[in-house]
Amino acid sequence: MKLQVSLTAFLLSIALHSTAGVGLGPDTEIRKGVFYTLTPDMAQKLGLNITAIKNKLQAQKYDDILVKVDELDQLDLSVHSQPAMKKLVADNIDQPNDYN
Amino acid sequence: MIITKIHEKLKSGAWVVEDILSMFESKLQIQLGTGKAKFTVTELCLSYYAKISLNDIKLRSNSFGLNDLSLDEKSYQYIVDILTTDHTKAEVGVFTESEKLKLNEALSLVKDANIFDMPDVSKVFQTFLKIEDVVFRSASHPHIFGVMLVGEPIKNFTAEQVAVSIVHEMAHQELFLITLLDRLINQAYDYHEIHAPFQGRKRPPIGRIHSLWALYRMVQFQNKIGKANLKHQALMKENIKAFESGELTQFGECLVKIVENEAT
Repeated sequence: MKLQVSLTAFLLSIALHSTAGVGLGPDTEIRKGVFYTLTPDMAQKLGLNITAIKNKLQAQKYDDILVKVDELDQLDLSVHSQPAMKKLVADNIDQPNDYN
Repeated sequence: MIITKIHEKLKSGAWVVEDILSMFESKLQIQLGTGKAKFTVTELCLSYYAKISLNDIKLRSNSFGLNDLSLDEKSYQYIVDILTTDHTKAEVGVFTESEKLKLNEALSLVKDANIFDMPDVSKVFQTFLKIEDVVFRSASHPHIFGVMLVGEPIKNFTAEQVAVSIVHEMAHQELFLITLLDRLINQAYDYHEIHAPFQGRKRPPIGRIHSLWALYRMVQFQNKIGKANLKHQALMKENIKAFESGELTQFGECLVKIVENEAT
């Protein structure tokens, strides 16, 4: 029987018991649906070995989710606070945009 | 790479809102430490960009945002500040019954068009806000993602024209999401203003590419519902030529190429 753990529980467990890497046994299954909470930043803060986690996920054929974990780091939230974007919006508001 | 997948999908004519939106929500949830708590993307955006506590935000609404909408004071002020420029001092208003009817008719038109991979409007816009004392017919802003701002001039337009406005704003939302992955404009050209055919005045490249993308999705929609608009098609073609060498990133150039292919 496989052990199911949520990623939060998994991270807590690792943080409490190990800083040397991931020691997941072959019977541990990481449950789907919580993976977005795992970012390389967070893994680093908790002293986790992200490669080992990825290997574990890949072994469980969660490749698609793995990609998404990495993809989150590609989003730059600051772009929408840059001066050029503020100007774009201000310019639009002053226009009738009556495009018919 | 996600950007490659997004490019491939866009090349096929499909929308990519849903591909990036879930990532955007997840990233905001991580940044705000909310876990998987059920907050709308608008609430997450307001909290992240306007620094308003999620507990203070009251933007939830019934009936697709058209009715019974209450806004907390901080969110209200933030939205009004966004809309306040040297020339404009806007107010959030209340839709009249005929405006609600018109909006619902327009929403049905968009839904019935059944465009390839176009997201359901309700996934993009959870809230419609009536804005008074403004000249624009519609607007949107990345800090209040999920909100379509509907200007007072809506009363002068038909349901079909409002449907085009909805698609127009959805295109802006799509581009807001794409710019999270690639800023589209090389930074040195952020304020490089040249003539933009859509507005008939000088605009920076981010403004021109937003115009182009909005026109592209509008034309796609109008063709699909059998109401091709020659003026918009011509404007779209003119906008394709409104970029100078070096302004756009490689991905920005890809977007222009996609529109160019649609135009020919």
